[in-house]
Amino acid sequence: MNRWPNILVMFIALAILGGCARQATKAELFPLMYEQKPRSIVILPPINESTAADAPTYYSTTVQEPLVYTGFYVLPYEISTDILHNEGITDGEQLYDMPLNMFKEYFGADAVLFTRIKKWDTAYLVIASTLTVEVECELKSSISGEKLWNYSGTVVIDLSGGSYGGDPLSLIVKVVATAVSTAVADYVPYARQANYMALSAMPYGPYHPKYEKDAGEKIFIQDSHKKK
Amino acid sequence: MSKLKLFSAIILLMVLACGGCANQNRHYYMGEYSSTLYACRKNPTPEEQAKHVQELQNIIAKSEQRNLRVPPGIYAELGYIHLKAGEMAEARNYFEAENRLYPESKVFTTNLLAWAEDTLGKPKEKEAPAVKGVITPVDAIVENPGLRAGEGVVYE
Repeated sequence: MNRWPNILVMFIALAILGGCARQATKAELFPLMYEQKPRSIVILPPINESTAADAPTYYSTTVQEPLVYTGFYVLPYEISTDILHNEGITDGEQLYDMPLNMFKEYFGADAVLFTRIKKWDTAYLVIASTLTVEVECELKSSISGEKLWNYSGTVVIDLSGGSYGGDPLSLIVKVVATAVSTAVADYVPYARQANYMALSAMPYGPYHPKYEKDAGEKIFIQDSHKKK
Repeated sequence: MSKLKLFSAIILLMVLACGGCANQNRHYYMGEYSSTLYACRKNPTPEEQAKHVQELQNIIAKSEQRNLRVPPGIYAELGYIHLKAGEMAEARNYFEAENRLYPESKVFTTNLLAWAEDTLGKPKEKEAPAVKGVITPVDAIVENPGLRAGEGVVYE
């Protein structure tokens, strides 16, 4: 009976080790990217799985720039969302299991990027608080509907800052400071970081200097790549 | 203890991986694109909109100045703003500029123009200045000291 906690700890440690430390090349993880060679991508409105209702509005301003830097032709989000909105589509979830051929036909896009906001929240603790932004990106072919690429990025920020010290008064000051910095915490810069993390695992597109030269680049294998 | 070490090692690796790629990706100039767009969402006023448009033009001018390809979507977004204002000739000029740089954009700009002509009842065309004439002159561009790391500054 007493051994269970130890086994559990070992299991968790193994899961962490297995989840993060193993690497594979981009070509091994995302062979379809190198076979189908998509050139242009349309970004869909984010799917919101966080508790923050306004997360999609702000998050959606952080995707286009990092995606452009990966070297693909990215349809301007401002335009594609307007069009989708007119068609009654305001949430990427509505299209997740649908055929995506219309994006090839009407937008000329080879692939469709789904983004999923997993976490967009602040955890309040007594003397500290942390802000977490977690996003998951998935690229699907608009021609075959196949999943071409997916990766996630997580940013956790300690909002409390400063040293602890033994003085009870400083603790009160700290609690107040934490509450203040939490109230004004801006998620967007961290959302950008999370996107850069996720998109750094994307094979480069045709307008990137390293296009078709990155098949051997190693990246971390994430849990979503093992499940299949 | 060892779990903590492992965890910090992982964080360190992630930071390194992230920092490493952020530096090689600067083959475009995106200026304050994300910031002005975010400001528009947060505070949807004509002033913020105007600032965003100004930033789009700034990106075009700075890219040319630095001999970089104007990033995807910048010309198209300006074209779309003109399209919504019913200024078809200007819209068409910007869309053509986008098409020249990125042939991938041809399908949707063609469709956009067709849809707009349908819904706007084919407004009459007027002579538009060439795209270059609309761009903010280079001397009017002030250096932007507010740029932060990871926001698309190009340094040779």
